[in-house]
Amino acid sequence: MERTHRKSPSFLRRLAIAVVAASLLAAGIAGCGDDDSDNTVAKSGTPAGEQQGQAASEKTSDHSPIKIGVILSYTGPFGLYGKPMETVLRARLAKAGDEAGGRPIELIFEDDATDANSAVSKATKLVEQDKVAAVVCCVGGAATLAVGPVLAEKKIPQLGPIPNPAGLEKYATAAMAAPTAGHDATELGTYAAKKLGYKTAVVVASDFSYGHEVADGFKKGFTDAGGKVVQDVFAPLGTADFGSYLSRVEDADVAFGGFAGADAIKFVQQYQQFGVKKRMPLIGHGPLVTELVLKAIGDAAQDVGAGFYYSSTLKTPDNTAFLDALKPTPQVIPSHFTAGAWATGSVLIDAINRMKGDVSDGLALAKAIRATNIPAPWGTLKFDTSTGYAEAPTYYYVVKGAGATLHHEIVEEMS
Amino acid sequence: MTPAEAVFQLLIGLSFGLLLFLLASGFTLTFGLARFVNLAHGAVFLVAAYVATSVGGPGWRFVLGVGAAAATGLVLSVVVYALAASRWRVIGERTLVQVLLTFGALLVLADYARSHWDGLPRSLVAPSALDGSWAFAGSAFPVYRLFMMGAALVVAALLWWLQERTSFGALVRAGVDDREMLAALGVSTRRLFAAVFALSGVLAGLAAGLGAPVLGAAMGQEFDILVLALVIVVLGGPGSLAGAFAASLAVGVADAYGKAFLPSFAEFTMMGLVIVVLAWRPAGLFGTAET
Repeated sequence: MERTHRKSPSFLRRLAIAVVAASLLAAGIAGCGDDDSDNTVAKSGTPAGEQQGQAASEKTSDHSPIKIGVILSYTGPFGLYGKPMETVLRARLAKAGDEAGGRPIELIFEDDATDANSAVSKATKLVEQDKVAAVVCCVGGAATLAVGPVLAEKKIPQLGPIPNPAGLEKYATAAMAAPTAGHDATELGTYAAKKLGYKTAVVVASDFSYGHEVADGFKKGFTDAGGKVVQDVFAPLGTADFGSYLSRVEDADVAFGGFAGADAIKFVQQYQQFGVKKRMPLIGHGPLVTELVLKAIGDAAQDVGAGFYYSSTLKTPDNTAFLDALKPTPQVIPSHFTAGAWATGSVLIDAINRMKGDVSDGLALAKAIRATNIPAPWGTLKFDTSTGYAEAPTYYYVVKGAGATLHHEIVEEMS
Repeated sequence: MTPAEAVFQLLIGLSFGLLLFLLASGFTLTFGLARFVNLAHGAVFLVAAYVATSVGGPGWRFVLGVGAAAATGLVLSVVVYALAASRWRVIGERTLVQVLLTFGALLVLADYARSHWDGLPRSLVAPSALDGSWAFAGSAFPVYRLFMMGAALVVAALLWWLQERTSFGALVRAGVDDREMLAALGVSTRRLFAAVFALSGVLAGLAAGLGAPVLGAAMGQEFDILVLALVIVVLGGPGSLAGAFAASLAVGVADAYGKAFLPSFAEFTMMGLVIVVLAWRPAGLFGTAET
């Protein structure tokens, strides 16, 4: 390559400038959302008594709307979940006539951009400016955990719509409408050893909090039930090529995969392409073959087993009602995200009904939420009243069909 | 590690490396030949990948998907050039302005992809003839990877020929050095650079289409691809296609061996390689010394 005739401006310097500028831009954009909320953060010192006073004055006008804040992710990595969850939550409330406890319900949606700091700012804004009675939050585990103490301090109930990591037990205001991912993975581990009869297993999971949570859960359930985990491998989030990991996976009776999203698609596809599926079957926590990725994985997903609290093929009455409500919006895919939004709406309506529309006392409302015992798409939804995490059935299902007919086939309830 | 295993990992690394070359070559081209930092390259890849997964399908429709991806890449890249060309005197000469413009274009394109494809990850299944695996070293190697390697090698050969053996390549290099002199000789540099951008877009589209059965299409790729492309450009030496080729293979192989034998450090292997190479040759493998 001839290039002696060229001038030599400093390419690397240009590149360095480019990279630095790009990172600054990215940081600036991420920070944009915080600008307006900085003011609200400054106001967060408002005494709790004043808030309660304002809320109590609402009680006199019994038919004023109850405001509920909803923080979802509309942008960033989890951005795909926000819009469908909003659609379903609105549909659930519309089914109840947009009211509960004799008062209209007003939902205020906010975008946390898949960022825990933004979620905290938005939660503060919802409480301080909008005077919401409760906050539905969030899609990301980090955001949910970050918002927990903020709402606890303000004595405003927090309701998590989807599986979230453990860590909110100490806040009386927090309630999670779905079991933790670790819980379901532990159930699957026990089931794999006791019912499926596997003696040895390898664990391959995503190297971030979700992957470790389900890997640890599975290992605990499996070894406690007498199984032996012979190898565990963690692959970075966003791994493009699992080939090198897969070709080094040791032989065992079964492999447990702890991946979600785009990683789940690539992992399940490459698990077959690199011939590992011929050597041992693949099982995983629900998101590995959730409805959102199943069709994209294609036939490589056939016969993959999963342990999870929800599948759109469940035949419960509330799941049928949920699927019916989705019919006007065919672009919304039924999954545990949208089913969770549906159940969250049900919990809010039920709790406010039991409070007879009096939501002035946040702690009382939080207690009412934890006392919920209602039908959800996956069966009965109730909370462990001491931890605030939902107690739900866990199902084992296997992927059947081919091409467009790929679907979950429920085998049985594991617990 | 048995020799067979070592060869197997080498094969995995080379196949991934060649895919990296496909996705970085377009970036190298505008960066090296037109000296334009096109950060929108990552988003061009993203949109092209989504187009490939939507248009493509089983059998012959796979070719349609790859073709549509290449066409998408071409159009988007030319649009980015048109934006820059509208004020070339300001934009063409200043890196910072280029970064601002193309980073903005990246965000717009990525957000368009999010709203149009609902942000869901998608995949394209390889044609059934290429979908199987070959038994090898007690393991299996996907046939599609071999096809992808072949396709990438053909593209690499064409690029080398274009740069070294055609008047087009010579003109572009001349235009970079002294645009005014070239214009005085009666050559339209604008048309020339438009062609470079078009080629860069086609390469990004081809990478997205051919890579779709392996990488799929997913939000976040716009940055992942950009980072990989930057790593390869820095490692190979800016502006050098041969350098980019060598760097892609080195990164692919290092990545494969890292994942296989030091899985806990896998994420570090690629950047470790960059550190070692830059400490040894600050201008990159094939870069020329700066003054």
